Amino acid sequence: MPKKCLVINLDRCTGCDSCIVSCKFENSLPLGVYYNRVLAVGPTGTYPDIERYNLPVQCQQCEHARCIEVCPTGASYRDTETGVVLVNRDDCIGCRYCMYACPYGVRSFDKEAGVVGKCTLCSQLTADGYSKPACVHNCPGGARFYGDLEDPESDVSKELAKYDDECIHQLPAPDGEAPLTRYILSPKYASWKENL
Amino acid sequence: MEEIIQWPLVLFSLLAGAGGCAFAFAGASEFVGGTKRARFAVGIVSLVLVVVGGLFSVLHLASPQHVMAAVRHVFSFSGVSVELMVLGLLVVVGVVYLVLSKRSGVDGARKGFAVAGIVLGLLLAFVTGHGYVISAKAAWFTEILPIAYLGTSLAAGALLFLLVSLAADKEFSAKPWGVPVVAASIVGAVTIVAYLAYLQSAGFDVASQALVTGLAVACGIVVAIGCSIAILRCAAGGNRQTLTVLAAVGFVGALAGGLAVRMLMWLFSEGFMELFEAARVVLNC
Repeated sequence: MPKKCLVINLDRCTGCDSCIVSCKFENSLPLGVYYNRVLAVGPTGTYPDIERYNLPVQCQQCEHARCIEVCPTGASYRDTETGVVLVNRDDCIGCRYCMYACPYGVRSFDKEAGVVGKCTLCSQLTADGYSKPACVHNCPGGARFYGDLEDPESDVSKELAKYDDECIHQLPAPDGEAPLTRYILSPKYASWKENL
Repeated sequence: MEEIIQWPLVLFSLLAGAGGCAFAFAGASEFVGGTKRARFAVGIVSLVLVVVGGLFSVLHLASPQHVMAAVRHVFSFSGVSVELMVLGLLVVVGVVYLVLSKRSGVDGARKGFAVAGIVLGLLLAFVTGHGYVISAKAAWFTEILPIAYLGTSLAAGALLFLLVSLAADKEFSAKPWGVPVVAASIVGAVTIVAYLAYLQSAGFDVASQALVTGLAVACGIVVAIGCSIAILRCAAGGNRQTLTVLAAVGFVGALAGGLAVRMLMWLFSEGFMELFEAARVVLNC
């Protein structure tokens, strides 16, 4: 099964929030509902040795997705073709167990529709096999990449290949959830912070 | 801002758990000692609590009719599905048991359903907590949590069984039930202490929720055990009215203790990472 995910190059992220805006626009998200956000990490350190970076966050496409395990209706599921974790809005009963089970708190409850939503890597666009998620397409810094981690020719693999291991990070997981999203942050810009 | 404590879920597990355990005690009285009339009354009250608890859980859904989707996917074996299965089975077993209680010459079958009721009643109290054992929330990620759900339900269920039995049948003798009621209250108290200790060891300051922690200790431990010991001392030949009052006060105390445990679970429900919480700036980490 493919491991479709995002690779986000924090060396190039300016924190402009274009990814948030394009996501809300593409997915017609109502006020207060987000599928992605950008955190400002820092500034840390003592003047003049201070550093900060921007950390865009969204569904991390965990290999061991707890949201799928706890869903009582199968509304949260993994697409067998792309490997992407999705939510079937017709089957969602709004019990919010998936939100409790998500280690990253990156699911949103749409009170009006009574269903839970999250980043689908714009499956409505990417299902054709060549389109990119809106956040990737609209990133002015060229910091976001989409593709299959298992495919060495994918955009994500090519971007990761440019960097040493010390520059490649992923969010910590409480119990082996194995998030797929990879972050690139070079030590020359800032040190990666594990505990947010 | 969303309510931290999900009250429909708290009331679901509290009432269904207490009802399930009270039914288990009614089933046990087939073997330990009791009267048909008392068992029938406890059976009715237990099933009402289980059903009312189930209805509270429906209120947690975005729309009550969504419960049908959960029923359609009942074999997904998620935490919610297991709760639904056990609850449904207990109601079916309970109704059959009550029907058999009104018939003569079916002692074997009735006792068989009583045993099934004991197992399902206890299981229901446990599984209403087990669905919360998830890695994303440190305060929930322990088997002590469902054990505390079971323990506090057991204490409340024992005292409810005694209360309803005493109120329903003048022939009912509390004598054989003094020790089991004390034992159930002690189990409840031990599980409360165990969960509080777990929370503290996991980095949560239980003293920061002094009111709720105090409720757990004062009601779930002091009142429940105090009343149970008093019941044990009076059970042999004590005043029936006194026994009833002690059972009532003890039940309310045990129920309040169970409520406090469930409230604490939600009050300390911060996730592993809450990345979508109001735009965060992480400073000097």
